[in-house]
Amino acid sequence: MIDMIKAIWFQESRILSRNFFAEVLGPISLGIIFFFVFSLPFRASLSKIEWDMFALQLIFHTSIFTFIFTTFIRVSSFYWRTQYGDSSFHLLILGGKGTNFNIFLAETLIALFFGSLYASITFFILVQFVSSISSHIHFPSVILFWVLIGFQFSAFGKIVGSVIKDQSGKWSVMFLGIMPVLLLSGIFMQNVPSVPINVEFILPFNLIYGITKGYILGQIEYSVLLYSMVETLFIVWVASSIIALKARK
Amino acid sequence: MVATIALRNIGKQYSAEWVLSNITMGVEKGSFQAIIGPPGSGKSTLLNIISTLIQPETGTAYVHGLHLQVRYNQVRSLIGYLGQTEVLDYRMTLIENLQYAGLIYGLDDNFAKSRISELGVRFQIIEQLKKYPDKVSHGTRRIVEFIRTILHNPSVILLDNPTQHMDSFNSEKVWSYLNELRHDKTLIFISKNLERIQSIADRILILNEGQIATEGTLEQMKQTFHLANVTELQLDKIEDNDINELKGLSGIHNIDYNDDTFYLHLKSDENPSKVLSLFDASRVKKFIRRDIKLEDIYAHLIEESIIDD
Repeated sequence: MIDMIKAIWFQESRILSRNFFAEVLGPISLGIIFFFVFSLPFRASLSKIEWDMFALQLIFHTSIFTFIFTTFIRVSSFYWRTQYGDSSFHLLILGGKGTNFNIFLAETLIALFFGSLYASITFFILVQFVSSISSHIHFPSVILFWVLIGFQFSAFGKIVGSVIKDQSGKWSVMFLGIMPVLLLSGIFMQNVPSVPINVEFILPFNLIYGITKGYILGQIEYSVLLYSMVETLFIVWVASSIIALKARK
Repeated sequence: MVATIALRNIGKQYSAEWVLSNITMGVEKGSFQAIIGPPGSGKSTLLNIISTLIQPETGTAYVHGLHLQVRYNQVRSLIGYLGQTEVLDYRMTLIENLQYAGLIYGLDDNFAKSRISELGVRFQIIEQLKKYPDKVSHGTRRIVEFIRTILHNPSVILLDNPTQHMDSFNSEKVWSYLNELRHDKTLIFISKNLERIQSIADRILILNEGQIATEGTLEQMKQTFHLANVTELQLDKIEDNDINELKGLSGIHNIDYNDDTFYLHLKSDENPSKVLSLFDASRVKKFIRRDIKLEDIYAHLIEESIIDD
C-alpha cells in the first residue's frame, strides 16, 4: 500500500512539475470562474451583510466544487490511462502485488491531497472578497464530510475511467452529469439547509447538506453522517471490487 | 525434475469460443521453455494465465507450488512479465519509468538505482535513459521494458516476443543476457525466431488452435514424428503433376512445399537420389539433404509459415 502511494506520487509529482499550468491552474481557475458566474447576478442587489453571508457559503461551495472536480478528473484519468491509454494496469497489478483496493486507495489518497490543496487555494483567493469568515465551523463534521465527498467522487471517477473507453467521456460525465446534480444539491445556491428532511438522504445532497451545516452553523448531523458513510462504503466497494482493473482480451 | 510451473487441464474461454483447452504441462526449474504457434493459437493467453493477469475457466496452475488463483500475490512477486503491448508513460523519461516500476515493486531505492545503472550499462543505453520514450527508437523502448521486467530480479521470467522491434545487435544482447541466466531463472518465452528458439530453448511447446500440438525437446519431436532429416528439392516451378508423382513414390513420410520447393521427409533407409530420377535435370535448381530444424517440425504440424523477426 505504502509502495503504491510512493509510486503514484512519484509519477504524479513529475507530471505536475512538467504541466504545472494545466494541472494546477485549470481546476483553480475553473472554481474562480464559477464563483463569479454565480455571484455576479446577486452582487449589486445585496447589502454588504447579505453579500458576506451569501458569498461565504458560495466560496465554500466553490471550494467543494474544485475539490470534487480535481478528485473526479484525476481518478478517472488515472483509470482510463491505465486501462485504455498506456495499458499500465498489468504493471500496477503485478508489481503492486496488487489488490485493486490498494491501487484505488493509493490513487484516492493522492487525489484527495491534490483536491484539498487546490480547494484550499481557491478558498483563500476567494475569501479576499468577503470581510469575514464563518466563526462557527465544526471542524470534525466538515473534515468527515469532506473525506466522504472525496471517496465518493473518487469512486465515481474510477467507475467512469474504467468503463468509458472514450477519453473525453470523463468531461461529459463531469459537466453533463455531475455538475447538474451538484447544482440541484444546492452547491452554488443559498440556504441549502432549508429543505424537506427526507431529501437529506439523497446523494449527493446529504453530503452538501452535512458539510454546509458544519461550516455555516457549526453543527454535526449524525444521522446524515451515518447514512452518508454507509452510502460511501457501498459505492467504494462497488468501485474497488466489481469494477476491477483487468486484462483485456 | 523439479517443476517450477505446473499446469493441469487449463482452459480459457472468450465469449463462446475456447481459446485454450486441456493444456497440461510442466516447466522445470531453471529451464528455458519456448512457446510457438500460429496467430490466435493461444500463446499470449497462456502466458497471461501464468502471469496471473487472467484466470482460466478450467484447470489448475501452480508456480513454485503456489496456486495461481489463490496465492496470486506471492506468485506476482516471483515473476517478471513482459507483454507484447508497449507499456511506458510518455510523460516521464525512460529512467523515471524504471524508477516508477521499482517503486511499484517496492524495491529499496538504492537497490533500484544500482540495478537500473547496472542494466543500463549492460545494454548500453545509459545515455538514452535520460530521454523521453518518443525521442528514442522502438528497439530502445523495448530494451527498457525488458530491463523493467527483470528489475526486481524475478525467479520466473515470462516474455512475449521480447526482441520485437529490436535490431539484430540489440536482439543479440538480450538473448545473450538471458543465456547467462540459464539454470538460475526459469524462462517461458514466445518468439517467432525459430532459429533462436532452437538454439536457446530446452523445451518447446507448439500450440495450434488452443491445444498442444506437441511439447518436448527438439530431439523428442524428431523421434515422435519420425523425422531425422529433410530433403530440399527446389524446381523452376512446382506443377500439380509433380506433387502426384512424389506422392506415388514409396518411402516418403511427408511432403511439404511452397511455390518452388519441396521439403520431403524420407524414411531413414531411403536413398534420396531416387527422388531426382522423377524430374528432368534442367528443372532442378537445388537438391540437398540436411538435418531437421524446428522450422520443419513446425511446418509439418501447422502447415503455415511464420516470419523470423
